[in-house]
Amino acid sequence: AGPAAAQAVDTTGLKEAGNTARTVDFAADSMKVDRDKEHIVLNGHVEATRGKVNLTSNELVVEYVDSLNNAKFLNAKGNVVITSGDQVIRGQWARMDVDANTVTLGDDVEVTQGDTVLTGKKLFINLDTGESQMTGGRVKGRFIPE
Amino acid sequence: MRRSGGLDMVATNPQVKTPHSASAPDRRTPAAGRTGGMIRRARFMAWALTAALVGLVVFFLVQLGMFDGTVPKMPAEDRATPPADSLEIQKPRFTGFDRENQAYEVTAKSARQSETEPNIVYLEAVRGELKLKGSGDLLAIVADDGVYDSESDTLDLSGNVRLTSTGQYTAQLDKAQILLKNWRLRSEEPVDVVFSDGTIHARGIEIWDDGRKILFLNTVRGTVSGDRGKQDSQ
Repeated sequence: AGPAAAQAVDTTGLKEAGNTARTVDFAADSMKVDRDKEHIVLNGHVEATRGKVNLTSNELVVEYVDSLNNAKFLNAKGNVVITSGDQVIRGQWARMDVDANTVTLGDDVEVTQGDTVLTGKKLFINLDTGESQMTGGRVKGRFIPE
Repeated sequence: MRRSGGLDMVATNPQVKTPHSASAPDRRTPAAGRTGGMIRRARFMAWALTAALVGLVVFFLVQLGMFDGTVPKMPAEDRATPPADSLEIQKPRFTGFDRENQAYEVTAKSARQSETEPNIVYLEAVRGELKLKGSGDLLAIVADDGVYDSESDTLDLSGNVRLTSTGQYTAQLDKAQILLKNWRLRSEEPVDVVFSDGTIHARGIEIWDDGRKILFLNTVRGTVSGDRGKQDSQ
């Protein structure tokens, strides 16, 4: 396996899971709501679940407009792990653009699915179309989208 | 003294049957029977009296606090109870301004002021109101009991404490303290918050800056019904 300029990642699971359920369950050591800055900061053992997609990280910042449930961006930092079905995506940070329905993960990104592991600098996923792109990465093993 | 089978027997009562006196003739007569009954009753009475006495002594010692560590304390009612010497205040109503000149009002169904510590007022069925500067919303708080300290400008609330920010959220908890100077609410008790799009539970909360900053502490859990505007309109 050689360095791949850009490599597709099968994120159909993420796409389906992300587009169905609406409710988000969350937990953390502490949470601060700042209505002036319109953001919510969850700190310590953060876990958020939406449908079949589960995210854990050290910190999660939700940027919203006007109302707590009108989230615009989600920024996870530190030991970010996104699990959906048998696919596990790890990175040091992740940013979700809720309106665009896209997720970008960065720094030491690793996608594991079955016995296939894909690593890279940055992973971009479009949850509407299911398209994804890993850049600056290497592919180990064969990766066959189902 | 009659030796019988190696046991020193003191024959105090001819009717007492012992396995070793089988040779003694059974001379039971009606009179002897009655005496036996009286003796048994006397013995029972002696036991009862002794038990009562011991009970009394133990009760007395408990009152003295002898067994404080061992005897489980009756759960002291957690309410703020005014001292006996307190004076009743008619139609209690306290108003004031916080540091940013924001008016607040605290009323109660009844109140008693401590004579020895006049800065302390014990309130029953407390209601506090603050008009929020930024949004103009009303922040209302009610509780079963409260202790208002005019010196430290604090209001300690207990029992069904409920904080409502009109149109925003309702928080329910057992105890909370409000620093009236800057309307900062603090509690280390479990708190449940319900707002239009979800619920939050934590084991501590702080609210300040006109209710615009809320910190949930000691493990927080919640559910938010995410609203993806675009997705919903399709």
